[in-house]
Amino acid sequence: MSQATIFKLWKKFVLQRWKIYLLGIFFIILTNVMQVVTVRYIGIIIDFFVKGGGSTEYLTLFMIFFASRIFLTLGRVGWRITMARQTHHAAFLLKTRIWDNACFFPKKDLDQKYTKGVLMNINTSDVRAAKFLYGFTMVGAFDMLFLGGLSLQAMFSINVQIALASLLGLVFIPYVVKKLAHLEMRRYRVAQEYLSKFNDISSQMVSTIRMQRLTQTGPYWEERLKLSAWEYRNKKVAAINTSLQYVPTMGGASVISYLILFSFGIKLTFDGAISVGDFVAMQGLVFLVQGPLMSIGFIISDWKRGSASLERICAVYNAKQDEVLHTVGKKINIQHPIVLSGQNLKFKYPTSSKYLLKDINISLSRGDRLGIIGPIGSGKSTLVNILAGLERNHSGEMSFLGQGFNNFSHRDLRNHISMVPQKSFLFADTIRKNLCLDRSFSDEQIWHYLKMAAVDEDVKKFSDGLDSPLGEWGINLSGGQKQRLTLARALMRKPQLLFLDDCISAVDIKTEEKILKNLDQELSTATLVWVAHRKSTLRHCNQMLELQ
Amino acid sequence: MSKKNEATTPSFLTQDEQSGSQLAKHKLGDYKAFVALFNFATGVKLKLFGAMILIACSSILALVSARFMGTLVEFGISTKNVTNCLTYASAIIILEILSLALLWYGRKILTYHASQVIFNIRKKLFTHLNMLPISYYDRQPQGRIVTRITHDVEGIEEFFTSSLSRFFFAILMTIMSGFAMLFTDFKMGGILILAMIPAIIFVLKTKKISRNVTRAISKKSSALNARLSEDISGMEVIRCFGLEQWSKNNFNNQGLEYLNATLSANKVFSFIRPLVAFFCSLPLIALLWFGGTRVISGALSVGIFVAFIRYCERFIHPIMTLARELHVVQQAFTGAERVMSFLNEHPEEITLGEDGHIDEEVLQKVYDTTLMGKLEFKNVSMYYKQNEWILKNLSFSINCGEKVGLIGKTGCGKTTLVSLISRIYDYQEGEIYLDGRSLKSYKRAYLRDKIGFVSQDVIIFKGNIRNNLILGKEVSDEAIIAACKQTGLLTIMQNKSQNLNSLVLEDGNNLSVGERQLMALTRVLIKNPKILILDEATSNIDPGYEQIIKEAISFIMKNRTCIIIAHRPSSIKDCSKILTFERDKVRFCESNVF
Repeated sequence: MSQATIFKLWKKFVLQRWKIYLLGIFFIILTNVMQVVTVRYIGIIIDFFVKGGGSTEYLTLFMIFFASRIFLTLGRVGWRITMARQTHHAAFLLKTRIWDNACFFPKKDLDQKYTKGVLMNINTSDVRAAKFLYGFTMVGAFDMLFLGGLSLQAMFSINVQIALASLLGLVFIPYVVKKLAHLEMRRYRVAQEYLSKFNDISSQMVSTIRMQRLTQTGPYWEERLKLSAWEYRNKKVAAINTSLQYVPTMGGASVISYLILFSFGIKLTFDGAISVGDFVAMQGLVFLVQGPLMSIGFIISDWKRGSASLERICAVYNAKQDEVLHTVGKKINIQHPIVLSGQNLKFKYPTSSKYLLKDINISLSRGDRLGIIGPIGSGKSTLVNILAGLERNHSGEMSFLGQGFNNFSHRDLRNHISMVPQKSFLFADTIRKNLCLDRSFSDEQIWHYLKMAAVDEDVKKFSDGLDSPLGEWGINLSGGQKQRLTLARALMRKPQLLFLDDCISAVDIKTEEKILKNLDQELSTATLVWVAHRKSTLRHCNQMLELQ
Repeated sequence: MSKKNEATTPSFLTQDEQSGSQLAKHKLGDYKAFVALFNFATGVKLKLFGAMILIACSSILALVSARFMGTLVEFGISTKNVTNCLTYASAIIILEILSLALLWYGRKILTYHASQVIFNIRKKLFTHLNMLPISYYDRQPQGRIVTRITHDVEGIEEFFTSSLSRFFFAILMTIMSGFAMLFTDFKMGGILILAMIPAIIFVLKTKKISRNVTRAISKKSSALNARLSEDISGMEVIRCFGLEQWSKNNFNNQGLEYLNATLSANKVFSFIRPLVAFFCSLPLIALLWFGGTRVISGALSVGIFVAFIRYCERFIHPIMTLARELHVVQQAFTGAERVMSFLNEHPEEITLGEDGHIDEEVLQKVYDTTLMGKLEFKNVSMYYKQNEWILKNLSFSINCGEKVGLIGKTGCGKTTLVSLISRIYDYQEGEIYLDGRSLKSYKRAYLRDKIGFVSQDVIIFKGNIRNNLILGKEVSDEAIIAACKQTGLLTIMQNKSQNLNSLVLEDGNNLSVGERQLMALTRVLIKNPKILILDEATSNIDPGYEQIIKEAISFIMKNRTCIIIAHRPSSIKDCSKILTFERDKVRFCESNVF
């Protein structure tokens, strides 16, 4: 991606809010002018003392100084509330747009290119680095320009020669600071990565503590944790030591300034080219100008890091989305007699030469129950995905209620077709929210479906009932409970076509029978496709398909 | 938190984690907890002190250098005295370099040794994790415990390794310039120090506001990240139900909450930060007002006035640093309090009573025998919560080498029963005998070492196959290979051309389910326990490995007392006894009914 694309993205945001940015610039100038005024007025006041002025005139001087402090405060409030504030607006827009795009990415890209780790990283560290380009970095840049300009002007007005000499001595600052900032950032990132790895092991240790106690492997985990804590400590110390290198850098700059002032400066004073007062003022200014010089280094480093992050963010914005999800579909004819049909279905992975599935023919009418059986690796789950219209890279004809999947919109299809996958997934939210998702149900309705999935007794036992939270901060569900909740969730969407992919394997035999009976009775008009390990599970099916 | 609430609901679910109200029980003072942290500095205390001395010396040198600057101008440059110029100029440069070197070196060693203190705290926490009883983990949500050992320590770390040296330097600078002002002109100095009071009051008054807004940001930010992470993990569900738009809106709403939190923080800090700076400039304003009028009336010399301006700067600057980083100290205090009260939680030693004395050595020397594995339950009853009996009056016995099946619905007490044998929980009535001796007379670690446990989920971690099999024990490669051969893992490894040094990915992602199950079985074989517990170990067998796994299981069951938990009777058809858990009663059949 070219720098131009990134710059365009940045420019668009800034131009849209140009009035606020302009106001921000005004406040930065106000702040900088007042900063110089306060410094200058102290000098003027001292001169006034030396001359021996009266107290009425002094009152005016004092009031000007006091007013400048007030305006300085106002200016500082001003740029924060205008320009710096844009940092947060930018972060929000950058973040939400990432998910707006990524949630429509093809499954394959989400599995390989934009994995969870990658997307999380873009959403946190990349946005964190990029957002500053819209606010605080700009404040820094303008501040550097105006304050640097003003102090340079003051230096040159005292004496051109000594001003030039001092600047030449300090010219290394932006370069070194840029390098240091870069190194510092990299080392902190390494330390941060070690920290999150170490935090992962910590939570792994806590989550498996019962098993460790039973098998007496706790001390072993303890050793692992200590080792990674030690590694993290070393990385962190390295990072902090990099930050500490600013101490000799800036100190070195002071020493160089002193060397120039004490040699060239004193010579100029002896020669009478500058006064003693000028010498003292010069000394103050040389230290003052170090700030903007450092800023140059920081701003370059910020911009480099931020634009690299923006580049990754832009890539997400421009990546291809799954077209299937955006299909504008025809109306689905629910009355069509054949719910699902597949002819000569074949499937192979792009990387493999062998067909995983071959010559599969299926025709299901309303109320049919198809059982699919076969050993692990025989392609059961892939077949289910093809039949459900989630995997469309196959050969052979598929039709749902008389037409191919591509004729319907993703949303319509999903409203009619439901699935309970093999691996049950529940969001870290309350049971109620996990069940309702984007729809709303009364408590009565929810309990009805929970009863159908034979999980109502379990939920009643939780002290917060339907509002019990799940996940790390909530209750721990057993594998069987999770499976039954995901089943209830799928049932609540009242599908015409329901796929059950070996989804009650962790449930005991009595409960399984209860569920199977419930499903068969309550979903008499719906079409069911069952996948199972054991033939016994499929006793309610009127069609069978055995995969090899 | 009311008592009543605590008894009826798991109150932790309704508590705000950040409020830390669950600490009320063993509430330590913030400061006390913080001071207690220094106990972890054993061994490095002297070095920390030395580093502080270096930093102190550095600030003294810096002050002397500033003083010489005045001398240089007054007696060197103004009087055009070349000798004085040379002397003071070179003195200033040498002092600056020295002060710089001391500061740099001092802060470096301070950081290094402070990070050692943090490492010590972490070490202690990890050890404590293993000492806490499992009942503690039942009471607390996992997230909170993880927060204790990660986030809360990071709060302390931030202060110790990054801010401590800066803080120390700042405080030192303030005190020294304060004294310098008082010595120069007591009245003037006093006025200037008093002029700092509004700033201090302002910082303390706004402390809570700024803490609340930053807390709100971190809360909303982690909620937003959690939302994203959940939705990425649940992508399959989202696709399958067509929830893309819903997920987009959810993320957007969560994002708006985050935005509002950051914007209100921006508003608060837009006023607080400049106002702190303004209040901090009050001493300077006071100097101009009181000092200025005194100069005009001739009571104060211009020279002292100028010196006061410099002192003021050195006095104000560190205080502003302190104000800016006050939240780090606060965070460290809260972190310290939480960590210390976590460390004060009762270990197993207290909740389960004193450890027994019998281990392998005692068995051999005192009883002249070794562990056989005969178990006997006599009227055993146990509860987690007073009077809610999970097991009541349970009596049965299992002979050495016998195989017993345990069946019943989930949540009926099967897992509790086997946990009692490992002494994970205490039983309140009756007694359990192992080889005729009370279970409580055995060392817990020894007992757990002699009990093998195989369950459905196998924990595999990143590393090589060897480390995954031996789990920290010292075992020769020959012995490992022999065990692999006996379980059949070796054949699989050879087929995939793996050896003991082959890398296993996180969660065993490059291993098949069957290979993982075989690994768990090989682990048990290497451990060589006397009692073996199989918890649903065969309910989810990889069909490709069915034969080899079944053979491995029957091999490791040989000559061991075995307890097999199952929810399908078919898994326990080879057992000689079956223990059936039914609602409110336990049935024990001596003969095999299947």
